[in-house]
Amino acid sequence: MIELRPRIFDFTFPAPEEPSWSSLVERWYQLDAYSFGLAEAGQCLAMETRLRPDALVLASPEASNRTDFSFARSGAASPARFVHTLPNVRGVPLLQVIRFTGLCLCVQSDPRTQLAGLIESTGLMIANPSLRRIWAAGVVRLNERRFRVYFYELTHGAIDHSWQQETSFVIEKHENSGDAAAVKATDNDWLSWMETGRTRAAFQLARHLRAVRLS
Amino acid sequence: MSWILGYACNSSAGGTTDEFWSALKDGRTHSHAVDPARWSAAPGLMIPLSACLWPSSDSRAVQTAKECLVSQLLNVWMQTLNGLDDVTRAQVLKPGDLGVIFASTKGCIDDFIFKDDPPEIASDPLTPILDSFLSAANLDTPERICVSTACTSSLSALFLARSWLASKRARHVLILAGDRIGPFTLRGFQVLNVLTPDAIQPFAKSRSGFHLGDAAAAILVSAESFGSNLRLAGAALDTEGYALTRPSQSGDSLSRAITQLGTEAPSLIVAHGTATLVNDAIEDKAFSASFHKSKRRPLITGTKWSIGHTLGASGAMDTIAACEILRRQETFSLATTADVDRDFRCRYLVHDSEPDDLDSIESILVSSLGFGGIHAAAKIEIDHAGLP
Repeated sequence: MIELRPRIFDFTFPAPEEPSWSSLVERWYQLDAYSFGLAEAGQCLAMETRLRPDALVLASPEASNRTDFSFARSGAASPARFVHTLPNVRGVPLLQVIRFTGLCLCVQSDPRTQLAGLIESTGLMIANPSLRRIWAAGVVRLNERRFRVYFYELTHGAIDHSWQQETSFVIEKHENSGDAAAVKATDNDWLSWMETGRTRAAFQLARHLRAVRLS
Repeated sequence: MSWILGYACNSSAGGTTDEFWSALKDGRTHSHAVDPARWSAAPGLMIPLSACLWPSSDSRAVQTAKECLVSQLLNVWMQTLNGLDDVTRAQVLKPGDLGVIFASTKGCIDDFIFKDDPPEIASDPLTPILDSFLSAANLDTPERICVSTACTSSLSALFLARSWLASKRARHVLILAGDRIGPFTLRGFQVLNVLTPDAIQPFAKSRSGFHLGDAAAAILVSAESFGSNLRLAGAALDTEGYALTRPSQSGDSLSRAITQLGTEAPSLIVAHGTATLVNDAIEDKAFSASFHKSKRRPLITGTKWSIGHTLGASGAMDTIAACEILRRQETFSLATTADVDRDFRCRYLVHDSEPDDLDSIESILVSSLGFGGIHAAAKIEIDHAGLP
């Protein structure tokens, strides 16, 4: 049984002050909002529990589109901006902050990129039993200056030192409901179900996977 | 166990795997000067500039990046499908059994990026390509995803494909890989100062960087062999948080990825070989460290000197080259490299070298390095018992 614990961090970018992790990230002031947010959230989680994940899955909607535009609009002359124009690169400051090396994937599947990150994380745990703890993470823009980081911790069953949160789920194998729409759900459907505590007890993530609310 | 049932590629060397192979064997490079009129919209693009573009690259004038990539991916998928026997083809196309993974760095970003009034992209730049491909190929599979881990994207896709097969999420996985070079990547790599005006000379003392290249590739892997004697023996990834772009000088991360696949040296390595000062040195160090206890010192070759750096497709192109070496039991050299850097410890197949200890080629390691500190390796093996 795979347990899923979500965490949400909202942040403002540009940040009003130097982050506490600035000494760990070279030229932190050149980060884009997404890299910054992942590092900021990673620092919070690292302070909460010293346990690192065995693998990371990055899954941010829109990939690095906004940073790509920023590079182009600024005259496409800045190498410091260009290096952020890959969706996996924005995970580097997070790696530095939590001192992680190992398996790190980056997937895209808009408009269900976050769901895809969860599904791939679950698949990795099923296929590789040695992966006991996976973090899936993504950043969503709320408005011009406000962003939201979604972090999901997946573990084999309940374990000690997990994140402190009120809501948790299990992801379990489940036969396809036969409802084609159920496996075409978008991130918005998922977030709505997860965050607003709708009465439906289960959410069909994929053909053979569903999330069930625990608390 | 994962088997490679078929593959096809389309690059600046030509539209078929045979043409790719011929270019590598004959020592042909495919760099040409970029037409300045083609990408006049890109600010600051400094011409002259060379790149390895598709022979049909004039289609840039009439096709969007998305249309071009979908068309090239359909082409390599049809070639792959046509290479299968009827029974295998029917099995692969059985509804619900095939998963599809698309690997790319920037997808169709060039369709948006340098417009005067760029439209809002409501999606990541890869998924529309995969969706259009699946629709055009009439493949209605819920098992689909895009992977974007910089220049290791293809090997990440191979890793993920093995995971899908192991968890029985799919019985067969089609890996599609493609990047079309455009002003965004050209300009970006230009400002990073890694594009060379000279020939691409991997592992040479005088190496000075690379040219970018167009490519699309398809690799079909399966949990069943269907008579194939090519095994995808493993794929591994390791990411270090050393820096945004450059890997750490130690080569430890690549070495960790490689040794996940074993410490016995393969017959041959198809290296990433970008011909940059840092990357080549790290590969040499990682190969030495990974196999220092092995009885065999592997030979090293690569493909970028011929078709350029094909970014997200480069791992797939190298994997296809590895499959061809195993199938044909022949090698090709780094044809543009005359003098290997004297600081390097590995054995390189350069233009005039003839390996005298390579009787039988049984396994090949493919390596990739990507921005974001990601390193990847895949191992391909041949079952000689299955050879005719």
